[in-house]
Amino acid sequence: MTAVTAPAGAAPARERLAAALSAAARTGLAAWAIVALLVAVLTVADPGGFWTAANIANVLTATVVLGLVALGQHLVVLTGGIDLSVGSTATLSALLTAMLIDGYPIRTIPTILAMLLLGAAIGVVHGLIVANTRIPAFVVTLSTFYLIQGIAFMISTTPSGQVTRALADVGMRRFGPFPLALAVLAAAVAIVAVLLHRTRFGRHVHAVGGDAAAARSAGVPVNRTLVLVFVIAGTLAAAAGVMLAARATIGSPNAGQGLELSAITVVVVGGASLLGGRASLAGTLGGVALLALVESSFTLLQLPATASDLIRGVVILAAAALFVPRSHRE
Amino acid sequence: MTTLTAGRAARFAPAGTLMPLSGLALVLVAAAVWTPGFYSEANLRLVLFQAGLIGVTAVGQTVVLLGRGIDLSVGAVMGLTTVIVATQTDGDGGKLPAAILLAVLAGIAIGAVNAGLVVLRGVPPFVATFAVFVLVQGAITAWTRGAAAGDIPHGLQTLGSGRVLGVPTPLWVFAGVAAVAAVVLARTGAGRRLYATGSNPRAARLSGIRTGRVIAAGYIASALLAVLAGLISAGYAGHVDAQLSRSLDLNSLAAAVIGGVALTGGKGHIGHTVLGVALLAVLIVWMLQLGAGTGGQLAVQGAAILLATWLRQRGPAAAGTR
Repeated sequence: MTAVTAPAGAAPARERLAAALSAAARTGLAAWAIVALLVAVLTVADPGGFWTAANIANVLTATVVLGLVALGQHLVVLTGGIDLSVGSTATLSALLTAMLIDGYPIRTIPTILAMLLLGAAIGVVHGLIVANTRIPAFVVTLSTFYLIQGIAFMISTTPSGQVTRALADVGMRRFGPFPLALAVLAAAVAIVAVLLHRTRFGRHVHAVGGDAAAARSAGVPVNRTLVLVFVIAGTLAAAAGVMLAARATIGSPNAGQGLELSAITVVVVGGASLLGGRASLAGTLGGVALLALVESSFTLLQLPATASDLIRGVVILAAAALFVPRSHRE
Repeated sequence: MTTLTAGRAARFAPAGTLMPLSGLALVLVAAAVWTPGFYSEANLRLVLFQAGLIGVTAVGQTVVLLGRGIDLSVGAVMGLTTVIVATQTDGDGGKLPAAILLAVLAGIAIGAVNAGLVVLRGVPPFVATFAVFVLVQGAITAWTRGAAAGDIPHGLQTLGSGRVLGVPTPLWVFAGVAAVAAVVLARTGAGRRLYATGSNPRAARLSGIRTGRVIAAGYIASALLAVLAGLISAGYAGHVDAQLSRSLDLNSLAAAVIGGVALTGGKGHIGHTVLGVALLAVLIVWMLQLGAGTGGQLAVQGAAILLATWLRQRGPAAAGTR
């Protein structure tokens, strides 16, 4: 915060400190440092409560839905885009999961597959529009954010449906401090990590985000990469919706509200540049851990639940103010 | 959606106002055919009221858009205004001026935070104002403990549901705001600086315009107009609408964009906004009459923004590479 008002001829030590700080923010180290600090604070604040298996499981459970959405957002942000519709997609998927399964075990697997396809289809639409027109990604996804939320409200304005025991188990069962749902997130992280760092697609994603025009002339299939990235983001958002339904056992038309902003916050805190081309997966995961810690500590410290939105807003605003670098492209 | 529409859009775009105008005519005709009761007096009055309410915020949004920004915190400011008036006065008209002053100060503060994030920190406007939206909404929830209560003084109801010469007061307010904005934008140095900043910030800065101040003024103006819209809405409802603070009100953005104000800054004028407001107000009231709930309205707004930006796209990319 002080860097803005610092006089032009600041001491070199200070400049070095600023450089070190921005490097820490870029690599995602800053996110994990804040997580460590928060863990220390919570340990001191409530030594008996924080390190219990149940509380650790709570924190880890809170990472699942957020983590799934954040992974998709991570990819989209890497290409220089943004997906504001992930919260609505998760909502629609959660609502439809519960309503379509409606308590019949035999419908569980087909419904989940259908939801993932739905998410992918939404992603295809986003990708095609963003790749083939000059409409900015945030306008496209802001429109569909409304469109999809509207469709969810048209389907039902009240919580409805019922998931099966098996699916609810995935959402709620835990082994010691490890919730079963964490396996879903772990699988998603592994897939995205391999895609990003071990495949040609991963290199294309970085290239498109770095400079789309240069990538295109270097033979990178820019449009296909963009569509694929939005497809992955949509599918992951739909998966997050299924997990939301599993955890709540019913589908709510507000299930995923605010997820899009949480996901953006997480990616930004993790050191990603919203201009594209640069983001750290470790940092994004650090951001997920940070937000999950903040959210679950409300129950731990018995703060009023109505204050959680406020704290989330403060975290998001602070992240926007501190982590989003000044953009020089105009 | 192939070359036909793209070509038409390219031809229509220079005219600018032709597209929203034909959209308005289309919706008016469709409404007349579909729902014969649309042109009843009560219904038209509802259209005029809606236009007034949306219009006030849309003018603010236009000013922000012209400066290459976007303001997603409008709905939160409106909600906050309603809550401030209700909790501070609880129906007592004597406390109304103090409550309004408080709401105005809150509006200035929120506009200043938006501006600070965008101008000083270089945060993309949609991220900054979205974050502010979440923060303000969270503050409202925490402050009222999730259940806002309190009455709105009677004095404010003349602003919300009163009529002058048979026309709802909010429309007069919108007309006044739009007229002032039109004159400022088209006839004053401030307006010229805003257009210059929006169309080319770098050139504007090099030619000596303090672009930061121009952009900041836009966000503060938008927040203040949102306060005004909040007062109108509070006066109309007569009580706190807890739902209002929770909805990310996109009407202002939808109206401006549908009317033809460019999201890329520097292009568009108040005439566009007025046209967009009229189109959106007719559309919303028609949707209400067709029995569409919140869901239908949200879906239509989303689709309208997408369609409007799509039709406005020009150049080879829009000509359908598929």
